[in-house]
Amino acid sequence: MMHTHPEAPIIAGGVYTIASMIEKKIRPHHLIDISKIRELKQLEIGPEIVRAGALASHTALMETFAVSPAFSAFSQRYTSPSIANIATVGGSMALKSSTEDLITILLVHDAFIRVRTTEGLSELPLDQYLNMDIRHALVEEVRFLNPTTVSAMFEKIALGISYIPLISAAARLDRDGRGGWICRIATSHQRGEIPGRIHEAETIIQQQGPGDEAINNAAKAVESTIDPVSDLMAPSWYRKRVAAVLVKRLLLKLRDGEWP
Amino acid sequence: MNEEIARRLGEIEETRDFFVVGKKVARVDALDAVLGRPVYTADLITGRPLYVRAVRSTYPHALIKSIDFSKALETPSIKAVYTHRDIPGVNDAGSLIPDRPLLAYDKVRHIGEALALVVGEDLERVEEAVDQVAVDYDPLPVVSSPGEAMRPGAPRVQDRDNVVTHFKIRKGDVEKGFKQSHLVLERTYRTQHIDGLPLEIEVAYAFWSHDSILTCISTMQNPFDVYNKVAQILGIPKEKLRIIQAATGGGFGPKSDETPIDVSAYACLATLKTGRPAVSAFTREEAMTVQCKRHPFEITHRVGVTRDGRLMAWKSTLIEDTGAYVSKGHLVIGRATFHCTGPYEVPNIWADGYCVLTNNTMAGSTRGFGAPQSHFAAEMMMDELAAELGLSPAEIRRRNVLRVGSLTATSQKVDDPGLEICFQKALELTDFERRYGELKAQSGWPIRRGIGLALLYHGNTLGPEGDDFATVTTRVERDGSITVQTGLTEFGTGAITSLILVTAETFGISPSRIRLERPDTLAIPNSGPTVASRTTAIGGRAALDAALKIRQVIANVASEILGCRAEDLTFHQSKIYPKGQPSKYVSWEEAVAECYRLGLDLKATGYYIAPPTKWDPETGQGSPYNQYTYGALVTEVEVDMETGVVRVDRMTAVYDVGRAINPLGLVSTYESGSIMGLGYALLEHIIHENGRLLNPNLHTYIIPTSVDAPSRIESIMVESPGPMGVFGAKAMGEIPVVLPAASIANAVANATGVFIRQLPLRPDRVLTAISQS
Amino acid sequence: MKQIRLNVNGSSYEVEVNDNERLVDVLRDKLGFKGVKEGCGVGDCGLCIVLVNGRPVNSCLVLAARLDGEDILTVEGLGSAENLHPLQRSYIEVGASQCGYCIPAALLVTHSLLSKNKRPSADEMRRHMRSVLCRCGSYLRFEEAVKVVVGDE
Repeated sequence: MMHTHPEAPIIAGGVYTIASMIEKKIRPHHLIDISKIRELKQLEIGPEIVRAGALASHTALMETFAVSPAFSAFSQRYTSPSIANIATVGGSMALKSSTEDLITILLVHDAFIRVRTTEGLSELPLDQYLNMDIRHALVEEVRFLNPTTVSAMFEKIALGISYIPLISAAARLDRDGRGGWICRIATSHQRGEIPGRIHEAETIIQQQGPGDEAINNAAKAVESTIDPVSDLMAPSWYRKRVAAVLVKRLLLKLRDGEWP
Repeated sequence: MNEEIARRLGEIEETRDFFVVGKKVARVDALDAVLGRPVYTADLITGRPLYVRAVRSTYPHALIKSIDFSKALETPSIKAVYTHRDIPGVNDAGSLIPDRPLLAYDKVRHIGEALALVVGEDLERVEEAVDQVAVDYDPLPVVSSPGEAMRPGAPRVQDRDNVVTHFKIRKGDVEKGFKQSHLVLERTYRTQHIDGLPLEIEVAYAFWSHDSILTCISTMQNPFDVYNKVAQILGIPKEKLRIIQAATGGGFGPKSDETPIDVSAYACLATLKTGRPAVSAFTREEAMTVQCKRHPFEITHRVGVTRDGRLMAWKSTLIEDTGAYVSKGHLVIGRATFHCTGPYEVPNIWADGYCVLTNNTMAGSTRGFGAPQSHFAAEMMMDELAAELGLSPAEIRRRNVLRVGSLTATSQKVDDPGLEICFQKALELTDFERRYGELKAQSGWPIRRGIGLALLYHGNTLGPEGDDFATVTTRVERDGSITVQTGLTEFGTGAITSLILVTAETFGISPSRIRLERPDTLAIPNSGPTVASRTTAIGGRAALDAALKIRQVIANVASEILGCRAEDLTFHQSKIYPKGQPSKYVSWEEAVAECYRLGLDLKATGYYIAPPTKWDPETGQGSPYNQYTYGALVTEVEVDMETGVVRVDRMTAVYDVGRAINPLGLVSTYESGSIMGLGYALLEHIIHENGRLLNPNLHTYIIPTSVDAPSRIESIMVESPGPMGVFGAKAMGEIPVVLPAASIANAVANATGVFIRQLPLRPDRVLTAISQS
Repeated sequence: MKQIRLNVNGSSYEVEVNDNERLVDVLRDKLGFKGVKEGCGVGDCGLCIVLVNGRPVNSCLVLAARLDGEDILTVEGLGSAENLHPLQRSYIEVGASQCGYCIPAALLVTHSLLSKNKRPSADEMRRHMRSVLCRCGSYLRFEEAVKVVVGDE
């Protein structure tokens, strides 16, 4: 189809598409229904790696990984169960937006994304995909560390029914098996309105371990390196300040074992 | 009312052993709602009507040079495009003040102002055609705030001064009062635009009935406002028009204001000109843009107080942004100014209230009508004064609260202990004074708790805002069932159920035997607007009047049957019997049947008009309201000091309802207003920038969801009967929305140590305030 | 146009739909289920929620053609005047309905929660009810209604 319609941009999944049609932002000439392609619905759970097809629903992820604090928070802080029932993994990824909590969470699960373009298949790390301008790319699959095998948490400040985050953060803290630490930190607004990892903060924890001073410094690094947008919901300075607060709280909880 | 009926009324009023009044009763429309019955306007549309959509301005302030709709007419299914030239009658859709055209002709004064209508057979084509109408604008400088509007040489929004109303209170001598004060504080408070946001969007369905009457079914609070205005716009005699209010999904003010007139006029215009049925419906974005907003206020108080907390002098300036058209702005400023010193006795007052035009979207009737804004400022001021003096918020209020014999800001004497009772109860139930003191000294981190208090008084009902009358038409059918019809409307408040209860009480029959007919201008006389929380209090009097008139007729017939005097009869549990002799009865059905056999008319229209109120416009002194509702609200909050997020944990709402006609309905009202008020305090903000509305949608305009509701709302009803409302009932529909902002802001001050004088208390605003202190 | 079959409230309906026709339009206009409301058209308000295979879904965001063969529950299928669902009865009893416009969606969301969890906590109830906006502020009434229903069992 991409070959027969080279000009056609790929629009993310149903929820966003229909809403955009109503708001007159887009007037698609053709809607191609991919919902019945079974392969894209699959959720394949291996002992260490999970492969989620583009059409795997948010609800499926929440239910499957309910024991993971990060996914449990994803569920608790979700806009509404009715949207979760129709929102998809592929749809979220394609939006590349701070509104998609799933992106922020998968970033700390070392996610890789497989996309299909007219040139063929590409597989790349999620944070790289977020920053690349890839046109005409259909998300086929996302693979990530099995959430039940890692320690990750997620927190978000949001208002209203849409629960679009003013700011959200995810963090992961695990032992690397050699006496060291693996740390991943991501926020909903790393640059502008796009989620991303904060490598400076991760490095501080990985090098120094999660002591109080290191955690404070990591939080400071988050505040000083992210460059979030100012919009109707919150100004940039607020997002920076509170991202730091959320990251600090997440790291402390992960370190001190405070989870359900 | 003759002596007979007056005596009966007195008997009913004296007994507290009501049959149905005061008991737990289901709303008359609850069954329709839970079954999802098709009772709203959009549910009633059949066949293939024409669709009507408005072409709306893309500039907040501009001259209209030309409108070219030739391209729009190229599509065959587009039947017509109307501009102001096509309006047969008067091009005016202002609900009270005739300053607002239905379709703009020389200039547009706010973003989204309508200037043409597209009519067609296919909704999608009509929407496309709207985009094809080419309007040539000549932009004008935008007046984006009252500050700008009041500057000398400011551009004029209309052909008159931008300041359209100046409301005054002059009581005593403020300068002398300041000299007698030990402390004088000056503070400025600011509130924001919000949208009342009824969830059912504006929609109207018009058609010619078989007997050549232009009929329009729509969603509204005031059928006769729509009726009078649409007839005038169409230039048709009133007898040729019929307006029916369908079930209405929320009112909150916007449905009593200009947009119901607009949407009905659009549909009716199309039907008038084409002869075909027509539907006009707004989108959510359109509705949020042009629906009236709550007036934003800037209120500056300068208050003098003695060392021990007695108020000596209070000087206020209130500036209200009414947007491009006045709507009810000239009245909102009045209510706000009357109440601007809060429910306290102040010997010396100087207040100036200004209603100002700008190029922002129009503000108008919104639940509370100036009282929420006014109480936010007054109640925070009281807490700030208390803090400076080292008094608790309860102590300073105790020194000044309106008691029996006190004089209000307009020098009206208070004859009702309702406020003191509510105040005392609220303090006791929440252990306020002890907890306030404890929390003031807390040192927890990052979560801090706070408790806040606010008091209100609220003049009932329309007062100086208009003729405060109501009519209710009641008919007892042959089988003993009863039909009630009125122009007062139901749109969520539950107040119409009160009218049913009053009727049922008077006849001594179960409310389930009473059927309510839809408000229909063809069937009933003007009952006045359904606003100002007057339905139970004023409408109830009219319902009582109608029922008593019919009861008199039935009593006369029953007295003949039973061989006793009509005035000795009791109507109870569907039986009529002489007092004290329940076994010697005639059944309700028998008595009604006998009335019919005798050819008697069991139909009456009840009427009530509140005594006119008097006050001097130069000094604001007099008695602008016939009675007052009183209340106290204590709110408990949690503030996250690192994120600025405020969570309301518990609200204790104590209101003097006068007489609880429908207690179950009142609980819903309490919770409704409390949660809406919470939204006003913490979440809601319609954002204008240079006259452009930035967030006309529900993902960036935030209203409370279930997780925002407090864990608990205690709804405490105090009964201190008023002289005006039915059985002593007081206005309640709007009351619970008045205090949450004040109470929450005071609670946040208790938690954080900072008074945040601007709404909404969004996380970034709270965090800024915390960081700066 | 496409011929599809929808199982609504226990009955099977054959209906012709366009590719881009939303479920809310098909339910309201083609099948006459006026209890399904529309409040925004973009998934922001929840008034259009129906249950698809037991799960709440915003019917303004789903294309009808994709639901060929699926089970749909609207408020009309919950109960009737002669035979009210216990939730409908409890909503009346506690005064949950004010303007009534969100009630069909609120009932369905609550029903779907109670089908999965007979004794939901207050937190769970709130989280589920967050799918539906109620401007009249009946949120605590909804919780009260569930307490009544759960208490009865």
